[in-house]
Parts: sequence; structure tokens; C-alpha cells
Amino acid sequence: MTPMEPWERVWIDAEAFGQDIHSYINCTECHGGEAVDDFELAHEGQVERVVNSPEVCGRCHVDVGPTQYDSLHNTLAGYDTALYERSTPENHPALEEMQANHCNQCHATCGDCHVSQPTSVGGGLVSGHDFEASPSMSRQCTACHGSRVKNEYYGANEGVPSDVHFRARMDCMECHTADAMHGMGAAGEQTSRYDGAPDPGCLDCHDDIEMGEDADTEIEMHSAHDEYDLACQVCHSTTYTNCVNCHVEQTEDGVPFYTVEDHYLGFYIGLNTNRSEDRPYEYVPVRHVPIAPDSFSFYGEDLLPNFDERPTWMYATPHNIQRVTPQTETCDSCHDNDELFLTRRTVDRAERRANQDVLVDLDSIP
Amino acid sequence: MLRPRLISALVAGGALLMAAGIAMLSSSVGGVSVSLASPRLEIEPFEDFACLECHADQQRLSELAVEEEAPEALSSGPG
Repeated sequence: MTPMEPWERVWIDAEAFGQDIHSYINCTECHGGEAVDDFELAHEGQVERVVNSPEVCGRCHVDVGPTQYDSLHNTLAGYDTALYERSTPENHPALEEMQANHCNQCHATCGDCHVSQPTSVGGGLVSGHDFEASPSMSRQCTACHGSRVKNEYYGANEGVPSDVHFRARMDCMECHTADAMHGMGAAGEQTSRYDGAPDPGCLDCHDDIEMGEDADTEIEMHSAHDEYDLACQVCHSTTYTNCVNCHVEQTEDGVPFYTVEDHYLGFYIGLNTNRSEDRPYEYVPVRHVPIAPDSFSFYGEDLLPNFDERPTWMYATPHNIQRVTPQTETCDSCHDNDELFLTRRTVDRAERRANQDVLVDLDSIP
Repeated sequence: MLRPRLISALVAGGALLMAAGIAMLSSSVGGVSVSLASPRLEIEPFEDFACLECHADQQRLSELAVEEEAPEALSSGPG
């Protein structure tokens, strides 16, 4: 993404913004500061990045404002779910400090989707302060969802094609609806993005797909499996990024940074630890997440005493969907193919206990 | 100097904002009608022309907007 010039970040396109209903609101109502000519005085107390609240966006957007405020996209509560499961309450303050320094810049305020680029890429007004109903995939969505989702979707991983939906000119909003992003309906109850029914789900659009021995289909592999066997991505995803050992710390000047020890492309089928009526499949793709027992040691000792309570190979829905993949070539592409499954041989010895519910027993590979 | 078209649009904004607020009250979400609380439609006349005088002026912004010295990027690996 090309960095914006300093002036570009704060430039208001008078023509475009003048057509926007938000232009009728006084600038200082949302941004604070004072509407005066003096530069210093004008920006005293100014809020550059406006946060959703009942007094700001929620003042008019009464249907969306409250739910967006509590949405996963804004709260990043999914991180809390994951971290707290590996920790204990007395460590929460240290973990929250860590998140504030390293994670929270991806809090998605209303503006981060509808007005400006996220802070993680330097901020800046995308369309001269014009409010866009749909965010820009390149300048907003993938600004935060970059290293995995963007690379997979765009086909930026070496040797891996782009997602078929990208090639069909579909942007993020075609599947990830406004209601879901705003935490409305079922999305408002989620504690993580894989909580509840898939949203989006493949069958939301591909509702003509039938699976199982009684399925009305000419696709042999669809009739050979049913929804209790495997998630769609087991056949239709391909290699994706797996990361190893992320550590966070700060410089002497208090500048936060992270280091990921390693990352590699791979595709692994594991057991679904999130199995439910909404996600009944036994097998799912799993991705290695770079958490380590000492990932946050800069902020305290032994902050993850329950590290093994949660796997390090996690249920994944890679954004690199293909109709034809190595898995779909023949039945033998998967069956009796140990290399495709997450087994004890694949997992680092130190992580086997954490992943015991994910590992596929070598004797049980279908 | 703000363009006259923008100024007139801003000055006439109150009634339009009121109408938009009423429209929002009757919006439905995801195909399901949602019971909405009454929004606070206390519309003040637009007065913050000083903000726009500067922020809509590309040349003036080019002179005033200064690139902050970014700290050395020390992070490595996929974020």
C-alpha cells in the first residue's frame, strides 16, 4: 500500500464531502478542538481518530452504533477469549497492557472502515473525508487483515493462486456483510469469530450443493462425504501461512515491536475442536498460531500458565479457495496420505499436549 | 476560500439532516425491523468554516502538514 502524503491524510475533498450528509455536522462535534484560525488552538484537545460512542456516530446511527461498539471488530474480544483461556485472572492486567501496546491499533472504529485508513498503516482520509458505505478492500480491510488473509486472497503467496472469489472480482463485503461487521444479530453474541454458525458460510451462496450418499450431485467427492465429515475448506483450500513463536517487547524508548521467529506455507487437516451443531464437521484445516509460553515475557513472568489449555494449531478458514486442489485430484490424495494430516510427527514435541484434541492419530487417518 | 457551493450546502444543512434522521428511524436491518430509540436530533447550524478553510486547501495543508518522524520499524515477520 502506497503511503499517503502528510497533507493527503487530512485533506477534505470539498466537492465530494459537500455532498455527504455528514458535512452538515460541525467538525468540532466529532473531533473536538476549536474552529479557529490559530493552528495550535484549533487542534488543542482534538480527536483525530473518532471512536464510536452514543455521543458521536451512535447519536444518529442508533441501530448500528450500540452493536458496533460491542462487536468483535471493535472490541477485539476474540483476542481476550484466546489469551484468557491460556492464563489466569491475576495476569489479565499485564495482558491488557500488552494488547494496548501491540494489538489494539487494529480496533476497528467506524472511521477505520468508512472514512480513513487504519492506524496500523498510518491512517489518513481515504476519500477526502467522504463517508463510504462499503470499505475499500485494499486500503481498509486488508490494511489490518494483511499478512494472512490479504496474501492468500490476492495470491501473493509464492506458488499459490489467488482465491476464486477474488478472481470473480468479489471484495470482502460480498461475504462479510455489514450486519456481521456491526455485530448485529447472532454476530453480537460471539466470543470469537468461529463462535456460532459460519458467517459467512459457503452454503449461504452455494446453496445448491448437496452432500452425502443421497445427494443429488454428479460430484463423486460430494456424495462420498457429508457435512459431518469435513469442512468445505478441507478440499477447497490450499497451502497457507503458518507462523511460529511471536514475541513482543518495547525498545528503551518505549516503542513496541514484535518478532515472529519463523513462518512457512503448509496445509494440514486436523480435528475440529469447535465441533457443534453449527459446525458439525470432524475434519477442518488447521493453522499454526505463533503463540509461545513466553510470547509476552516482556510484560511479566509466566503470563500463560495454562498454555496447554488451548491448541496452537487452530481451526482455520483460509482465504485461498480453489475448485480444484491437490486434495480433489483423487480419493488417495487425502486418504492414507499421512502428510496431509496434523499428526504427532508434524507437531513440535513441546506443543503436543496443547494440541492433543487436534491431532489426527496415524492409525485413524481415513 | 471555501467554494460558494460548499458554503451554501452547509448552511442549508439543518433541514436535510433532520430528514435523514427521520429516514434512519424507519430503517430496517438485515431484513428485520429493529425497534429504534429516538435519536438526539439537536441540529446546530454549521459554523466550523475555519476548519474547512484550511483542510480543503491542498496548498495550505502541504505547507502545514509535517511528516512525523516515524520510529525505526523493528518488527519482523508476518503481523
